[in-house]
Amino acid sequence: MSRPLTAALLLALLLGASPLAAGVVEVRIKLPVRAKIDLAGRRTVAIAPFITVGREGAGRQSESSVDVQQEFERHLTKLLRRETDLKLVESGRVDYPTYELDLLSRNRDFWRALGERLQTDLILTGSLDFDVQDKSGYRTEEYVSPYDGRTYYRQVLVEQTGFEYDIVFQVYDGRTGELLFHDNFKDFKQIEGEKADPLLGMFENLRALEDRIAGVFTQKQVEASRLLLTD
Amino acid sequence: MAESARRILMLMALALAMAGCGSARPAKDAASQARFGIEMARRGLWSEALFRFQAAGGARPDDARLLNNQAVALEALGRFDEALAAYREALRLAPENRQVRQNFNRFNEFYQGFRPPPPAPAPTP
Repeated sequence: MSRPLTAALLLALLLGASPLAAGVVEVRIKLPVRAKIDLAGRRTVAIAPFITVGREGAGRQSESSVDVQQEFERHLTKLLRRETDLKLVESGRVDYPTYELDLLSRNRDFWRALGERLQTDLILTGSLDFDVQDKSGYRTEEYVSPYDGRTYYRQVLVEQTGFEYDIVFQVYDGRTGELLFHDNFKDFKQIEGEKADPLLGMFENLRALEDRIAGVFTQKQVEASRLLLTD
Repeated sequence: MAESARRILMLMALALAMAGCGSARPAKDAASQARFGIEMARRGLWSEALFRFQAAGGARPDDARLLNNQAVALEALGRFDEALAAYREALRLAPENRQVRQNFNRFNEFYQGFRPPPPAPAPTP
C-alpha cells in the first residue's frame, strides 16, 4: 500500500472511529437502606430482658465486673430514643417459660400475652454473649544491631485483649406474638494491653454495631462505589 | 486496474476522514460535557452531573459509557427505576463492558433489597 493511502486510512481511523480505551473514575454514592421492620402503625416498644450467655474456653479471661445485660439495655434505650419516634414502655420483671431462645421464639402465646400486659406494639429481646479473651502472644520483629549494623529477628511478647460481642436480636409483634425480625450481630475488637478495660471493649463493640441495630427500625444510608466511564 | 483500485481506496479513506471531521465538533462538545459531568460527580453534585451526562448523551445516544454515567447519577439521586432502565440500555449497547456490568450487578443487589414488596393481591369477592 502506498504511503499517502496508508496515511489517509490512519487519519480516517483516528478521526472517525470512536475511542476504544475508556478511562474509569471511581465515585462514592449514598444509598438508602430500608428499615427491617415497618413501623407504620406501631408506636410503642418494650425491651424485655436479654438473656446473657456465658462461654468457657481457652484464652477466655475471668468474668469481668461489667453487667452485660444492664449496659446493653441502657445502650439500646439510648439508641432507640435517638433514632426512632417509638415510645419506650418499661417491661419490668419478665418470667420466661424457658431460656432457650429457639423455644421462646416459637411461643407466640407468651409474646402475645406479654404484649397485652405491657400494652406495647413491639417487644425486643434476644441474647447477649460478651467475651473477653487474652490475645497476647509472641510476634517476630526485625531489629538492627547497634554493634554490627546487621538485621536480626527476635520474638517479642505483645499483650493484647480481645473483646467479642455476639448479640441475637429479636423483635416480636406485641399484638400477635409473631416474630418479626431475627438477626445475629457480631463484632470483635482487639485492644493493646493484657488487662484492657472490659467496659471500654464493650463500648467499642456496641459503637460498631449501633448502625446495624438502628437499621432494624430506621432507614439508614450506606456508601457504595460505582464506576464512571470516560473517553 | 491496480491504479483505479488504489484511487477508489484513497477516495474511501478521504471520505471516512471527512466524515470523522464532520462529527468532530459535537463529539468534542459531548466529551467536554461528559468530563464536566464527571468533575461534578466527584464533588457530589449529582443533579449537575446528570444534566451534563444527558447533554453529552444527546450528541452520542448510542454511547454505553454515557448511559452508564447517567445511570450512576440517577442512582445517586434516588431515581432508581430510571437508573435501572439506563443500566439496561447501556448493557444492551455494550454487553461485554465489564465496568457497566459491575455497576449493574451492584445496583441490582442493592435494588432487590430496597424495592418495596409488591402489594398483596386484592381478595376476590
